[in-house]
This record gives sequence, C-alpha cells and structure tokens, in this order.
Amino acid sequence: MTLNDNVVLKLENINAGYGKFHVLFDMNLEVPKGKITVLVGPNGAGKTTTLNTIFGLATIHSGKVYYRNKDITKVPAHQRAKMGMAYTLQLFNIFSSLTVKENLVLATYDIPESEAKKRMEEVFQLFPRLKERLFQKAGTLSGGERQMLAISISLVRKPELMLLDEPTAGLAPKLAKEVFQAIRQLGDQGYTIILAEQNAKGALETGDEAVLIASGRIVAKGKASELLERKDLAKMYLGLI
Amino acid sequence: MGFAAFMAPLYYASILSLLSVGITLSYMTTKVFNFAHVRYATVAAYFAAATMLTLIVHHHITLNAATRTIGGIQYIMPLPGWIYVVGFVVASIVGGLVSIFLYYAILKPLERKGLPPLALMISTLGFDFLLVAFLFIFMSEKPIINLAAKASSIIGTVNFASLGLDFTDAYIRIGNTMVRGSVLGALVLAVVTTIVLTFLTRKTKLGIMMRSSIENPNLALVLGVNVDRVFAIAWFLAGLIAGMAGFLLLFGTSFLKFISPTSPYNSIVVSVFAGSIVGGIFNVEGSIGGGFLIGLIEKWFVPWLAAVLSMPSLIKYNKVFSMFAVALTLLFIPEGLASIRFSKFRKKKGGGEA
Amino acid sequence: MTNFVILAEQILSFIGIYYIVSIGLNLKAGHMGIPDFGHAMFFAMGGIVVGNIVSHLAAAVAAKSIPGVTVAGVIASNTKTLTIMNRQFFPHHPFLDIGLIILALILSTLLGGFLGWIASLPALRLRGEFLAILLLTVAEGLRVIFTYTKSLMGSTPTVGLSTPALFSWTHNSGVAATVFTIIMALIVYAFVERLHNSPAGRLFRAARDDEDATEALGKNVVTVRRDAMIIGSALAGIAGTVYALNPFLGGGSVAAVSIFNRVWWTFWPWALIILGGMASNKGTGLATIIVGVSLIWPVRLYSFKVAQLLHASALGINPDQFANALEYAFIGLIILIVQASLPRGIIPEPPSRTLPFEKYAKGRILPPESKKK
Ligand SMILES: Nc1ncnc2c1ncn2[C@@H]1O[C@H](COP(=O)(O)OP(=O)(O)OP(=O)(O)O)[C@@H](O)[C@H]1O
Ligand SMILES: [Mg+2]
Repeated sequence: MTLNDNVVLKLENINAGYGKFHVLFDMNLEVPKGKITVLVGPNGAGKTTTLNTIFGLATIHSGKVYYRNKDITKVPAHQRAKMGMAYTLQLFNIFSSLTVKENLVLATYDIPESEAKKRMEEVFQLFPRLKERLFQKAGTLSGGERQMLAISISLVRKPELMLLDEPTAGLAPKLAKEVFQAIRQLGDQGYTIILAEQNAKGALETGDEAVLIASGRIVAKGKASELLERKDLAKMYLGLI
Repeated sequence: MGFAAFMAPLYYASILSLLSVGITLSYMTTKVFNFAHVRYATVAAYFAAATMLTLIVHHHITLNAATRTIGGIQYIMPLPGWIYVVGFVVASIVGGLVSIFLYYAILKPLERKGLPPLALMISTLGFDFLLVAFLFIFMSEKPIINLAAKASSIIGTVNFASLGLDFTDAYIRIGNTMVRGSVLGALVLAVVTTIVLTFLTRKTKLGIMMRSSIENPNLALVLGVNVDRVFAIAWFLAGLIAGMAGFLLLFGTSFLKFISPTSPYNSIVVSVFAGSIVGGIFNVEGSIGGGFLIGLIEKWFVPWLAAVLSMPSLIKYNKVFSMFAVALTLLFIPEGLASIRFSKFRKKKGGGEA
Repeated sequence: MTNFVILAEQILSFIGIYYIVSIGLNLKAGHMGIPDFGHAMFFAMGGIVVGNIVSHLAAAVAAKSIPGVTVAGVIASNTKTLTIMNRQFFPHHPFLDIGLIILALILSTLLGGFLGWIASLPALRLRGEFLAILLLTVAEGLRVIFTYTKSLMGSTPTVGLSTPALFSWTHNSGVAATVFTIIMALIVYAFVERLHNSPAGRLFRAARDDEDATEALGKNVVTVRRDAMIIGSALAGIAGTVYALNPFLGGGSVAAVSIFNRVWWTFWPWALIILGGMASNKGTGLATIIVGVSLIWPVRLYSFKVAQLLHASALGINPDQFANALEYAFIGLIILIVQASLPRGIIPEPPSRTLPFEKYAKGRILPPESKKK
C-alpha cells in the first residue's frame, strides 16, 4: 500500500474504541499534506477518539492506520511521536506544576539544545505572550495562554502531522479568534494539521478540508467552506442555525 | 551515650531509608503501594546468601579473623573481599529483577484491564504471597541450612550452623571503635543512594522523562516518552536498592530468621511504609529522610526515652511510635502529605478541567 | 469415621468463621468502598473478649467453689487456672456457659463496633490507599500494644491465653462448637442480606458510587461511612469471639500472634471478597466455601503427600514448610488469577432487589448505575 505523496495519513475501515467499548464505526479518512483538516461534530461524536486512534491511544478493533506510506496500526504511541506526529490533548495538555519555560524544555528533551532554542524563538513569534510569562507556573496561566502553551508544546517539535483537540474550548470569542488565526498561520506555513473542534463555525472558517462526525461515523466530507454552506448539516449537527 | 550505642540505630535507620525510598519510587510512578517491596530484600538476601555459601564451600574458604592494616586503617575482613562483592551484586540484581517482573508480568497487564490502584495494590499482596511460598520451599533444610552447615564446617566456626546464623561481618576501626562493616556500608549506601537519585531525577534526561511521566503520563506519552519503560526503570531501581538493603540485612540479624516469611522481623514492612509516608510519598529524598527518621525513633529515641523515664518495657512498644508518626502525618501535616492533593487531583480528573 | 467428622468440623468451622469475618470486611470495602487493611484488629477484639474478659468473669464465680482458681490467676497462671475451670467448672454449669457465650457475643459486638467507630474518624479525612496504609499501621501498633502487655494477652505472644471451654457441658463439644459457628454464620448472612436490600444498604453503595449525589439527597456521607465502619468491625469482633470459642481453628487458646495475624484476618478476607465479588454477600459465601473446602481438605491434608510424591525431602525440602508454601501460593494465586480473569468475582454484585422502579421515576433514589457517568 502506498499513499499518494500528498496524503500524510490515512484511516482505512477503522473500528475503534476503548477496550471492548466501541466508539468509531467504519471510518475512512485521508489527510492531505500541508492542509488543515477539521473534524467537527456534536459532543461525544468521537472526535477525540479519532485523534486518539490516529495517535495510538485508543483500541483499534479492525482497520488500518497509514502514515507516510507506513502501516502504523500497531506502533506504540511514544514511537509515533518520534515519527513526527504531535498531539495537543483536549484536557491536561500542559505540565501545570512546571513553568512555561520548563514545559517547552521538556517538550524538546530529545532535540539538541541549540536547535530547541531556535524553535522556541519561532514559537514566541507566533505567541508573543508566552515569552512574557516564561517563568510563570503553567498552572497559573489564563485559559487562552494555557492553550497557546499547549499548542506550542507540539509546535516546538516541528511535527509533520499535528493533532489539535479543541484548542479554543472555554475561550472567549476574541481569544478563540486569536487562536484560530494562529492555526491558520501555521497552515499557511505548510504544517499538516488535524483540528478537532466544537466551535464548528470558527473551525470551518479556519480549515481547508472538513469532516463531520456524528455518533462515531463520518456523515459528511468536503471542503471546509462548502460544509459551512450546507444548511441541512448546520442545522442537524452543528447547531449553527 | 557512647559512639557504639549509635551503631545499631544507624544501621537500622539506613536500611529503613533504603527500603522506604523504593516504596516511594514505585508509588510515585504507578500510584501503587507495593506490599511485596520488603520481600524483595528477603528474596535478594536469600540468593546472596546461597551464592556466598556455595562459593565458600566450593573454594574451601577459611575465615581470616586477623586484624589487618591498610593505609593506617585497621580492619578485619573474615571472608575474602570478592565474596562480599559477589553477594552484593547478586542481591541487587535479584531485587531489581523481581521488581521488574512484578511490574511487567502482573501490574502492567492488570492495569491495562482497567483495574483501579487499590486493586493493583492488592495484586502486589498476591505476588508477595507467591514470594513467601518460594521462600518457604527453598529456605528449608537442603537448599540453605545444609549449605550453611557445610560452609561453617569448612570455615571452622560455629557462626552459621548454630545459634545466630548471621553472616560474618567485617570491621573497620574508626577512632577507637571497631565499626561493623555492615553498619558503615548501610550508612554509606544510604548517602550514596540519596545523592545518585537526586542527581538522576533532577539532572538527567531519564529524570526529566520520569518527572514528566509522573506529572502527566498522557502528555509525556504524546511527547514520545516511553512511559511504561520509564516507570519500569523506576521499579527496577526500587528493587535494586531493596536488594542492597537485603544484602546488608544478612549481617545484622540472624539471617535465617530474617528470611523466614513468618518471622516477626517482617513487621519491618510497617516501619518501611511509615518511613515513606512520613517522609513524603511524592518525594524521593523525603522518603529516604523519613525512613531514617522512623529508624532512629524506633531504635534510638524510644530506648532513650525508656531510659529517661526508667520504663524499660517501653522499648518493646517502639512500633507504636511509628504508628503515631504515620497517623499524625497523614492526618495533620499538609506538607509532604500528598494524599489530599492526590484525592483532589482525582476529583478534578473526574469532573473535568477546573 | 472420626477422621471424617473432624475434617468436616474443621471445614465447617473454617467456613463459618471466615464467612463472618469476610462479610464484615465486605461491608466496609465492598459496599462502602473503605479499604480497611486493619481488619484483623477488630477480629482480635473478639478474641480478647473471650480469652481475657470472659475468663475473668468466670473465674470470679468459680473462685468461690473451686480451689486453685483465683481472678488474678487468669493472667498470672493462665494455663493452670483455665485447665482447672475447663475440667471442673464449665462442664457443670451449662446455663452460666450459655450466658457467658451470649455475653461474649454482645461484648465483642460492642468493642468491635467501638473500635470501628474510632477507626472511622480518620476514614472521614482520608481516601483510597492512604487510608489502607493508615489502618494497616494502626492495626500493627495495636498488635504491638496487645502483644507486649501481659495483662491483656498473657506473657508470651505465641502462647497467649487459654480459652474457656464454654461448650464442655454438651455431649460433644466439638460438634456443638461447629454447629454454633455455622448458626452464627447463618444469622450474619441473614442480617447482611437484609441490610443489602434495606435503605441503609443502598445508601452505602450510593455513597460509595457517588458521594456528591448522596450528599445531594440530604444524606451525610460521613455518617454513612461511619455506620459501615461500625457494623463491619462489629461483625469482625463477633468472628473473633466465634473463633476463640471454636476448638478447631482457635485450638483452645487465643494468642496475639494468631488473632492479630494480618495475613489470616486481613489479607485472607480480602482474597475471599475479591474472589466472591466485591459487595456480593452470596459471592463471599461461595468463595469461603470453595476456599475452605479446598484449603483444608486437599491443600492442608494432602500437601504432605504431594511433597512426598515430588520427592521433596530428597531435594531437601521440609514437607511442613512445603505445606505452608502451598497455602501461601494458593491464596496468592487466587488473588492474581481472579483479578486477571474475573475482576468482578464469581458472583458479581447484584442490583438491589427491593428498589421499586417508581422511586427512580420520581427521582427520589438515583439508580446506582446511572450515577457513574
Ligand atoms: N477513555 C474512555 N473510555 C471509555 N469511553 C470513552 C473514553 N473516552 C471517551 N469515551 C466515550 O467515547 C465516546 C466518544 O467520545 P469522544 O471523546 O471521542 O467525543 P468527542 O467528539 O471528542 O466529544 P467532545 O466534543 O465532548 O470532546 C463518548 O461516548 C465517550 O463517553
Ligand atoms: Mg473531545
């Protein structure tokens, strides 16, 4: 099996869940290179589980996961990180007892120090606020700053595939917009991103491709802008109208 | 109180601290109180004793009780130095291996099944019983007692086969006292362990990975840390250190009594837990200090108090003092008392991000 | 034939006593979620009631008529005093004996419950493994106190105190003690089954499964936990008394090393309730029967033969120790195998039987299942 060079990741007939618990059904998905793919859907639809499946944190009952032409279905999670995947978790996505700096140092523990420093500077260009709070305990950051740090932890690893789970959850609209803008910027820089979001409108406006998940199944796929126009979906699943 | 009177308390306190730190290491990583931990020391002591005795028999080693001098320091080393070294290495490795076996063969599979920490703690109890069964079978006559008898007949002392069966200790002169090698060894080992572990957890890459895995295992995992392996290393270290303590215990008490699973010496388990809790179950250095403190309370403070109050029977009640130390720590001292933070953390997990 | 009777008596005594002590633990650990690793201390209270208090009371009466018996002698020359009373006094005073049995049961219930109440105080502040370790440590401290305090447990921890033969008035005291043990176990079973399906029992499990919801119902979780601690510990106290009165397990004496033995009276009951299924009264019963029969009959009786069969002594393995080893391996394997393959036990916790559906609907009682999420 070889992937088209433009496809970074592919899910093939995935049935997955947690232990015996079945969450995802017959999922097929291709993630194009250098694009932002958005996963939207109601609460409990299986967005996080899809990301967990991609990163090897869920139980795969059947089906296969391909990443850069390799079958990684059985590869353990920590090795996927070494293969260039990064994952910003939905909850507990920072080391809250450590300072901002220590968080970033930790995230680059397997990268040479000089290179790590360079990358941190790049991250600070995207999120200047973090630089001001370098020595603050991460647990005391505001919600927005927290999410920025969480994204930065993935970003300093220069991932080839970046999974973001609800980076705007609980943020005020203005802050959420800032975060979406930052993500769009990353997309424009050529990062391949999968973005799972509750905030369907913001996410669809940010992303290139979109996938709508409901009850563990993909119910619609297409360009993000097109999905945004689909009144039927908007009403049924996204609560946009 | 003379210098010599401190020897036994220091020895005991050092050994407790070596065992307490293992409880903390394994608790910090997997959130499991390991009931089998102290038994590692016993099993390791068993293997070390069996190896040393076999070597004595095999090489027809005789005791050398003469006082010798090296670099102006007087010492007595009854057995050749390499025998002690072999025993020490065997004990450490056996301790480490038993620990890692428990981690990979029992805890990990059960954890994957979704068993809660309390159930995992009970499974360490089940494993402890298996170790006890092992000791019951192999510490009886042929495997070790006969071996000890043979060894002692070659060595030409009554040391092994009769009365105490304690191993022949070395001595070093410090000032005008001949200090037992095991006492000095225990003290040095406790200090070295503290330094090495502090360095390891604070300054090395492994330490960084360990601390991040402890604080947030999922996040560490997605950053590419092999959390299982990091924890396994912590468990191995815990077992290794317990094995060293087991080796030292060969010299302190009658070792056959010590390795007997039914012996009252096993109430050391409670003192070890006490050390770990009083010192801080989330703090490696703290637990070493805690073990030391409990050891000194039991073997130095209580006897001193008994003498001061002229109530000699008080000495027998020394474990009651440890009990109070544990109760007071758990109930009233917020610092180092990680239980409250821990339960809050768990609540938070259940109730979503606060 | 007599061998068979003795074997049956041993097995039934084991089952009866272990059922009571395990069900007491099950009430705390299974129904209420309190990880009591100090259960042996409550059991010990029951033993002390018989070995110490009842003997003193009996001696006070016997001293008037029997030469050589004094109240002080119960501790000072324990074996001698109890031997005289067991031969010359108890066989001839059936009503006094029955009275003493009942008194012992009442006292052990009260003392076990009282100690349980004290132990429940830290249980309000601590949770999970930390509470387990605390209770373990407290039990150990208490063991030390009792072991070395002569006026409580006699002069040596291994010999302890001889127990009064309160069934010596019957035709066959062994059978009588066994029947008594079984009757006590059945009474306890009836009690806990009632409790399980009563509002109090449901409240225990509700408080275990969701403290906040229970608080919201206006029930104080603190009181609920306390009650479970008291009742469970009182049952352990009763078990201790039954043990001390039973010649087959107690062997006619109570000693600190045996009644405080945390392996026998804390860890074994844990193994039994895990095997049976947490919070399952029937499961605990079945587990006790399975373990009682297999332990006492094949494991204990034949381990010696197995040792011979395996040529243990040729390997230098002491057959007695081999028997001990088998026992420990047996219990260790039960714990590990059950946890690996049957984490909910052989008879998983049943739903409450008498809970009418309408009450769910009215929202007065939350169904236990619905609250986890
Ligand atoms: N660790 C787990 N064990 C068992 N079930 C889980 C676990 N995590 C999630 N689930 C279940 O899987 C289903 C899908 O959850 P998932 O987290 O993937 O939803 P989601 O789309 O990310 O929702 P949200 O927008 O609320 O984050 C839910 O029913 C959830 O209860
Ligand atoms: Mg989610």
